[in-house]
Amino acid sequence: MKTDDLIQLLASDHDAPRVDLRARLMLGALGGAVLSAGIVVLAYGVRPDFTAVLTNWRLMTKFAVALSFAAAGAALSLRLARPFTASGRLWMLLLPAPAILAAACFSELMMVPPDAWFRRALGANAIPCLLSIPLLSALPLAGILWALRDGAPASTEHAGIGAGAMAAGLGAAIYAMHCQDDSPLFLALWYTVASAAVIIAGRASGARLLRW
Amino acid sequence: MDQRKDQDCPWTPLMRAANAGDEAAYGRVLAGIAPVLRSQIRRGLSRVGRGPEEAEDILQETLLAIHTKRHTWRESEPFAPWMRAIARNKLIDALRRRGGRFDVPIDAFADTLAAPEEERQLSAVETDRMLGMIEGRSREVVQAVAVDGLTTREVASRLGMSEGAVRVALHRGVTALAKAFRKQDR
Repeated sequence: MKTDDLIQLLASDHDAPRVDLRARLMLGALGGAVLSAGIVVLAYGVRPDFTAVLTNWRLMTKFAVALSFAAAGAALSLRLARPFTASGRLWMLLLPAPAILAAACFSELMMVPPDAWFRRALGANAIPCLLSIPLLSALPLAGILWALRDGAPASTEHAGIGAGAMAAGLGAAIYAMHCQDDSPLFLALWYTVASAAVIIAGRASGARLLRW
Repeated sequence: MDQRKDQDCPWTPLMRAANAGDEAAYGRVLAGIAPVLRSQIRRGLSRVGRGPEEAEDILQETLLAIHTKRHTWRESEPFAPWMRAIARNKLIDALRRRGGRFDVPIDAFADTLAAPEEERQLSAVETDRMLGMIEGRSREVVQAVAVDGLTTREVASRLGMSEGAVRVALHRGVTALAKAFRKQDR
C-alpha cells in the first residue's frame, strides 16, 4: 500500500470516537473495585465496627494509606500510558502513602509498650491478609489494564507497575473493610508484602497486555 | 532547540481542528508529518546500521499508531514531540522484532533524503500483508478507500451499505490493521 493511500484511509476515519483514557481508567478500576467489594460484603463479611472509621485513628490510617496509594497509582498509570519516556522523579508520586504509614508506625511505637510491638505486627490474621489482598486486587487490576490498553506506553512494564500500584491500593482498601488487625505495624508488614505481590503481577501482565 | 521548534509546531492547531471534526485538517496533518517522520525513521535506522528500505513499513505502522492513539496527545501540548515519541517507540519495536537481520551496508545509503516527488509513490509491503488478514466487509471498505481512493459515500453506494455502516466498517478495518501490526511482536 502506498503511504499516500494509507493517509487517505486514516483521514477518512477521522471522526471515529476518541477514547477518554482518564474516564476509562476510572470506569475499569471502579468496576473491578465494586465487584471486589461485593465479594467482601457477601463472602468475607464487613467488620461490625466499620462505622467507627472516623473515630479510630488506626482504622482511618488503613484507608488513608491504601487510598492514597491507589490515587498515586492512578496518576502514575495515566502518565505512564503515554509514549514519552518517564523521568525517574515520577515515581516520587508513590511516596505519600509510605510517608503516612511511617508516621503512623512512629505513633504506634510511641503509644504501645515495646513488649507488645511484635504481637501487634504479627497480628491475628496475617495469612488471610496476604492471600486476600492479591485476590481482591485482581478484578481492579483487570479493569485498569483493560483501560490502559487504549494507552500508548513507552514502557509496558512501567505502565503495568502503575496499574499494579493502583490495584493494590484499591484491593487493600477493600480488604480493610473486613480485616480487624488495625496496628500500623501490621499494615507496614503484611499489607506491604501483599501490595508488592500485586505490583509484580501488574508489571508482568502489563508487559504482556499493554503492547500497542 | 527542538523545544523552541515544537512551540511553533504548525500541526498543533491543525490537529486541534482535526479533533473538532475537520477531516481536511487531519489529512493535511498526516500528509505534512509523513516526510518528517520518514526522515526521523531513516536516521534511526542508519544509526544502527540498517537500510532505508524498511523505513516505509515502519512509517506506515507509525501513522497507524498515531491515528489509533491520538487521544493520548493532549491538545494543550505541542503535537510534534508526541508524534516523534510515537515514531521512536514504533522504530524500537520494529528493530526489536526484526532482530539480527542486517542486510545492507551502512555506506550504501548515506544520503537518506530522496526527492519528494519520488517519495509520494513510496509503498510498504507489510500493510498489504496485514490487509490480507482483515476479514469481510471491513477489508472491502478499507480497500475501496485506500486503494481505489473512493470516499465513504461512494463506497456506500458501491457496496449497497449506509454511509454510517461504511464508517463503522472502515474504523474496524483500521483498528484491525493496527492490531495486525502489533501481533507480529508476539
